[in-house]
Amino acid sequence: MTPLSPDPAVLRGLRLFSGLDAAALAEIVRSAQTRRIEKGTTIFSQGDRAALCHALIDGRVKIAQTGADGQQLVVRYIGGGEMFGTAAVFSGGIYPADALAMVDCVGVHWTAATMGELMERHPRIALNALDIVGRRLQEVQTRLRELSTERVERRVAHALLRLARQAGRRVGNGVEIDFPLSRQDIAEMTGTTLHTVSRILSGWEGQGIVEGGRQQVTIRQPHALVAIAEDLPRPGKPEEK
Amino acid sequence: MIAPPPHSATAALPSSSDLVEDVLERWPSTIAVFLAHRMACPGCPMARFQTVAEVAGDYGLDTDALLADFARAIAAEG
Repeated sequence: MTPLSPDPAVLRGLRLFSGLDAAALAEIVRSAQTRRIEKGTTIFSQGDRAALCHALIDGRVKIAQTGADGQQLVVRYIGGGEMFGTAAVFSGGIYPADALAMVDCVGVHWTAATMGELMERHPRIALNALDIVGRRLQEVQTRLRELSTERVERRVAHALLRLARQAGRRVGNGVEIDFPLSRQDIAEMTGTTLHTVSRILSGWEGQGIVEGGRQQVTIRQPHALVAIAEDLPRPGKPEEK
Repeated sequence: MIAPPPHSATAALPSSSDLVEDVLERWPSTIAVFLAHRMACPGCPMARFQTVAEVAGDYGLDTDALLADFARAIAAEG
């Protein structure tokens, strides 16, 4: 993890600091540590004391929780411009999950004490944090409902749509999920097995709905995937038994 | 001043090549049209990747007829 010299431009695009003026941003970046993080680095581990608030400038970080039974669940993927590990700093004080760099990343962090002082001096930061945490809570509630009520096929469709919304890139008439994503990752996001995800994706590939390499997924028929996720009537497909 | 981009941000009415999310944002009165056609576009994560012509095709609708419905809804809004 190589330290970099701080530049206020890195904070542009971070929702936590939206609405702040140039002077405030300069103060915030002076109190931050910026660094490069190599692919494969564990940025923090589940159970560690939550000492730092992190933001990702560029790259992709996987937040994953390991249960008592050793089963791993991907909580979410973090992309450029997003905060992570921050809620833990202000609640409980223990990181509830691991944060792993999936690609080479550039990150920035503040100590808990520094972030607390910044929030007191600039209440806008605390309001932005509340907005971020509120949105994530809504996402979690949606996922909870999916997990408790939906068939696994719909959960996998929702997971791909969620990833496409966050990291999608239009290619031809399809949408590519623009970071390495294995079938095991999808299984861990949807609380199912690798075998089940492989069976579902192979079926969708056969119908031309998605296209995937080993570490990469492209949605070829966005509407067909939405139809599966939302249980919409599907054109050209008879009602399922 | 920055020159306005030549797309839905300045156009008077939606076009077939506009992204659905841009249409929904710029002309909220079209939400009713999508719903009337039982289209799942409002709130859909794919709306930012798909054009009006593409979603019309997905739902087996005529693109020009859909655009005419949008225009009526926008005109009714005033």
